[in-house]
Amino acid sequence: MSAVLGISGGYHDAAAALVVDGVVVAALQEERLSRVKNDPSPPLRAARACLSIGGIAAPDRVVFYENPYARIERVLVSLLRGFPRTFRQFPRAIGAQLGSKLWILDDLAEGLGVPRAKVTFVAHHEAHAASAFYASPYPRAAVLTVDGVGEEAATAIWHGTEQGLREVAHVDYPCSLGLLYAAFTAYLGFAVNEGEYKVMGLAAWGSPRRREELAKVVQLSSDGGYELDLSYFAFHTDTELGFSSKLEALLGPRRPAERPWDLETAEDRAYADVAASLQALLEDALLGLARTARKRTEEECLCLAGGVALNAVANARIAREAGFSRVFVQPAAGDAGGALGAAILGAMKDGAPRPAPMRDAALGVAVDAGEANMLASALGFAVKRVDDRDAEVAGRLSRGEVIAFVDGRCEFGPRALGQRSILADPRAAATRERINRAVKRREPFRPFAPSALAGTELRWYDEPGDDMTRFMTTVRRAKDTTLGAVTHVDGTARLHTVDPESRFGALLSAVERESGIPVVLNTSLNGAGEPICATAADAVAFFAAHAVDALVVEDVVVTRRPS
Amino acid sequence: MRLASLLAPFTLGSPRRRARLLAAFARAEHASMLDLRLAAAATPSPARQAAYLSHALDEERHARTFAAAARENGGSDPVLGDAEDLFARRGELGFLAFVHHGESRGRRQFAALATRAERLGDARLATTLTAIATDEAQHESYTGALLVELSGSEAGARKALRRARAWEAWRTFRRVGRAMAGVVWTVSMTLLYFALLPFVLLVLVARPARRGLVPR
Ligand SMILES: [Fe+2]
Ligand SMILES: [Fe+2]
Ligand SMILES: [Fe+2]
Repeated sequence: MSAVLGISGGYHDAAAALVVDGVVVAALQEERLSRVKNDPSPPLRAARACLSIGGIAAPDRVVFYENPYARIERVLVSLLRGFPRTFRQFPRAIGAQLGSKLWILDDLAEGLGVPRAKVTFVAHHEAHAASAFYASPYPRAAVLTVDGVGEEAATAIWHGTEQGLREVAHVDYPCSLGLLYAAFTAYLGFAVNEGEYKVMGLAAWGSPRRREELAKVVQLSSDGGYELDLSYFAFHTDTELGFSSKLEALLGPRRPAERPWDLETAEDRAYADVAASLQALLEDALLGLARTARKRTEEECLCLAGGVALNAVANARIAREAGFSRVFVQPAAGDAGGALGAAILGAMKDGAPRPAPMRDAALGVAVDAGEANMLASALGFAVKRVDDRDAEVAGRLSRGEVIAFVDGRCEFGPRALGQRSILADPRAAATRERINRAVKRREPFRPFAPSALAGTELRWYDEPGDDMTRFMTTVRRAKDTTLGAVTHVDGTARLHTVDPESRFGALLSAVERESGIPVVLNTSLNGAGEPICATAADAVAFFAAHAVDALVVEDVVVTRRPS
Repeated sequence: MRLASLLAPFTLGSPRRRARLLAAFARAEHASMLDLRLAAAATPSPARQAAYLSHALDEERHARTFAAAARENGGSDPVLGDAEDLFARRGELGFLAFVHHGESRGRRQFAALATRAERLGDARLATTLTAIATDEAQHESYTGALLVELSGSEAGARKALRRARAWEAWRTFRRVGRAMAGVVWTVSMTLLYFALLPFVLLVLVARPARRGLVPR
């Protein structure tokens, strides 16, 4: 038996993944256990949880998701290239590298009680590529990995075959689409590494009328490559800010972070236009890369990973226009997914077979319904066990209730896919406001997603589901406004299609029996700024702090006592 | 706390200072919430798990209240606090002693600031602080009872508290040391930076940035 533990972390969303004899046994982000959103610290809690799920005392090998030494070299070289403007960044950057990042492999060995010789690494983009290709259902595929930056590459094209993964071409830092997006996220007044989804949602409210001006900022070439004009950016010289004053001279002053959004005003609509123009630029760049990948590999299928692949709107356009017949996106496309890729690469190097295609993302810790029962009772809530959980949930949803729903093992990646979800009826647009008020406190431009029973989606959407809708990594156009709570302002929805044979599929069938439609509004089970719930304690704490109508943890139903 | 009431005119004097102080409170409450959640996940006793979880919910509410108050005074969203994972580092008894000590200090500090805010004519802030101080008093009392229960005696509880205070002093000492070392580091690294000029030329010649799509 061979157990390989993959680890990612150090910069953002740290995670661990365990592969035993070629089977992906567990994968989990550190934030779900530490309760610190996007926790980058060495994921020892997540690693121990994965080992405990697999019943493994100590792994045979630990594989880190990038080469820490190559990363340090790149940091040093880019600091020197930026001389003398990098003088303020230098002490802190070198301090971070020498103080902790250089020792990460030793820290992992010590923290996990594994001999140092058993801790190895793979390249950052190779880990991303493996997380997509080896989790996909395709025997051969082109693979595109796009993120902020790994060791040196910020984008790479790969060819995945029966022989393994081979790099075709790459684009190096500082020309990075991830850092481009991050710079605009900061320009629009959102938190970097957190507000990127908001930029994508905001884009739907604007029109890409500034696309021409952005052609100065990023030049696309006919071979599929792209170049950033670095004079508009500052991420390479200044750790505080991603963009330079020249970008503000081009597009107008940045948006102040604290001002509430009001898209009725011309000012905020202008910022929405910037977001829409950025989205158009990003899509054009990704399409160029995807078309080049198609030409160079001559494959019919495409796999995507890297943080930029979390852009569901761009993924939909790639699927439509890049010339591939099928597209798969690793659901944990960000750095968390690198842990999975590293574990798979390590296992295959040790002779394990390629893992089976990823069918769901329920790879984390299981919930303990008995614990939810005990804690909810101790906090004074009404608790009951029910025989037909699905009928209970369906009945409550049809009465307009908003339900915190917890079932089985938690999801790997940023999407709630029916294991840790807030559910509601998808029809009345007012539900959206209610959830926003009670729970999410989101800006008005962030849509909620529909989960629909696979095979029924053409009743509401223009195209059938595919390898991406299974993991909510693409969008579909709604035929009408029936599902008002889950349709974005531009008529799109981040559709999630659910296998009728799964437990969540059984719930959707019960919902159909009750309301006539096998669709629910599905958003992640977390408060504003918090990681998604993992354990029973998280779920009970969420219920105590947020005005949802009921908490359902497997067969345990928790409600508030009438006061 | 006498120090807090002495400092109050300075810390509550202007909306900006007020916002900064409230944001610092929000951060501390959030950090304390995280530590309690980790303790709830780690304790072997279901009763204490429920107690820590309920306590964490109070601290989460305090964090939200302080963050909202900071925003009302013109501050932006406060940076979230970090857990210290005291349960894992100090054991359950050490963790409880530390929490008990912190609650007692928090209660006195908030009560003193409430009086001060009252005098400055900010009744709203005074009410908020008084309500939170009441919660802290309850936290102080239940953790005190648990301390006696877990250590087996009043004397044991006092001993654990003395240790918590000593450890806290040691931590402050280390923090000051680290801050001073940070200054030395920044100065010496900045000097080193300018001494690296020859390497800058070397890098520009030997490692020019590659642009566009580079084939393998
Ligand atoms: Fe990455
Ligand atoms: Fe508190
Ligand atoms: Fe407290």
